[in-house]
Amino acid sequence: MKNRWTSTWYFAGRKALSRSTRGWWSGVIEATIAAVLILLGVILLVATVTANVLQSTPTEFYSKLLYFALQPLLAVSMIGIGTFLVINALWKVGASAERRSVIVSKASQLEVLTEIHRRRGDLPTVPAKSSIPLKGTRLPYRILASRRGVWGLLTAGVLCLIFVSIVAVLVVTAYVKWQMGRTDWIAGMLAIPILLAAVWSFYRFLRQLLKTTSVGPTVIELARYPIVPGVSNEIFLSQSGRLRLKLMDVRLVCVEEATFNQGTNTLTERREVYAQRLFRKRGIMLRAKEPFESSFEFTIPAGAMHSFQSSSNRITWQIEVHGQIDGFPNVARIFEIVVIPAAAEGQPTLRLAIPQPA
Amino acid sequence: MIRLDKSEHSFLPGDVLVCEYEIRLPAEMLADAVESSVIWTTGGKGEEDIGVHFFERRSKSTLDADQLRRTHRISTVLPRSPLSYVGVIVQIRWSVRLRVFVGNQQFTDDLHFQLGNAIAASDLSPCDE
Repeated sequence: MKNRWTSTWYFAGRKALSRSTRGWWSGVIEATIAAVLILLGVILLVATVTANVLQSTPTEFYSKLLYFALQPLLAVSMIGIGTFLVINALWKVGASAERRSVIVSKASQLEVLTEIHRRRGDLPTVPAKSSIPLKGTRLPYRILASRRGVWGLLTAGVLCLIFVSIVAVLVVTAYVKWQMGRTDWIAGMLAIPILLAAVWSFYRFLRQLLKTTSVGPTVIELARYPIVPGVSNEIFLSQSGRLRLKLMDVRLVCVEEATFNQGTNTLTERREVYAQRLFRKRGIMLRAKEPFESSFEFTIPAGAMHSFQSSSNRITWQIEVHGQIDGFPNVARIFEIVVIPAAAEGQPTLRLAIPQPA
Repeated sequence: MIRLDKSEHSFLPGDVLVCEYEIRLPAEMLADAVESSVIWTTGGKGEEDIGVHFFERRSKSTLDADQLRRTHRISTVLPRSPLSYVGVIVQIRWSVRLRVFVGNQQFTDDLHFQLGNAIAASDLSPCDE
């Protein structure tokens, strides 16, 4: 007999196995397998090379060349497969489905800013190359996200590989010497703290990987570009993924950056000098094939300073998309936008004539 | 001495900046070179950056005592960027700079002016959070 409770349980059970949740878990598993494959491959490669160097005489080495060659080959294959899976996951996050197909088939039509390069000649210190938009699908200009997240992932990965390699060498060295009847206490003692560092760095790498790949590509498109203070601009936002966003926030931010020398160090200080919330929504269910979409307007305050870049100083405007996910690290996507000075009286504004998509 | 054609020293992008300068040196001193420039410089926490919009150098061969004492004039069309700006850790300032080379010595004089009407960071509307 059906009642409210059995129906609720049935619905909850079905929800746990819904297509979006299964899709989310498949992404998590894929990223985890990729990270573990790379880790095991590195350990196997380093351990094999170290053991062979320590144990074999030249005669033994050449007589067992095939055996010695297979192990590193297996290790390299594991590293290669894991790296491919990571790159594949990043590719899917970094570009929406329609963009991927355009990149493959129509690469020559992507860049639309020959006109911007020509007209930027009279705007010294306004960044020209750093944030060149592409042709949008809903609005004329699509802004690309900053690459900071990917660099963070690469840094965490390299750090993890370094620590893991050191631990593998130390452990194998200690073990081989123990087999020979010698005890290498130094290698053993050094291995402990470095092992802890390796475990921590692997956790950081895995967390960074999940943070980067769990939420799908974020698309920001604008009606006007570059942006002029005091002029309203329409923005289109699209977010895909395979999970539920507890909260999504979109902010317009102006940041000043100053680089200076302090003793022998070079430091960069960043200061947020303006922030405006453009959009906020709670409880967004993301689906891979049904992205969340929204359009709204924003205006850079009239009289605000334009984008500026010199060797040691920067003024940057950016649109930040923040996502909070239960049980996951928060996700942030940064889109740098170029703001040019408002036109002097009588001078033409800088507008691009972009053919509207069919 | 440097004089600008606008007493309020405030210009908009595209305006023509006209500047006159005079150099008075003791009779025994002879200028080797005179450089006049219109520049922007950054200030604040970061290392100072400098951008040169206009530059003119007069060397010894084109200068004599009489020429030096005359009023010299430079003019240039001001660019659209960067605008003068007072930020929290970054500032941008425009100036006309005069540099006179006398032997091993250099004498420098700056006259600051405002380009554009960019709002100071502290005067932007409060954050809407």
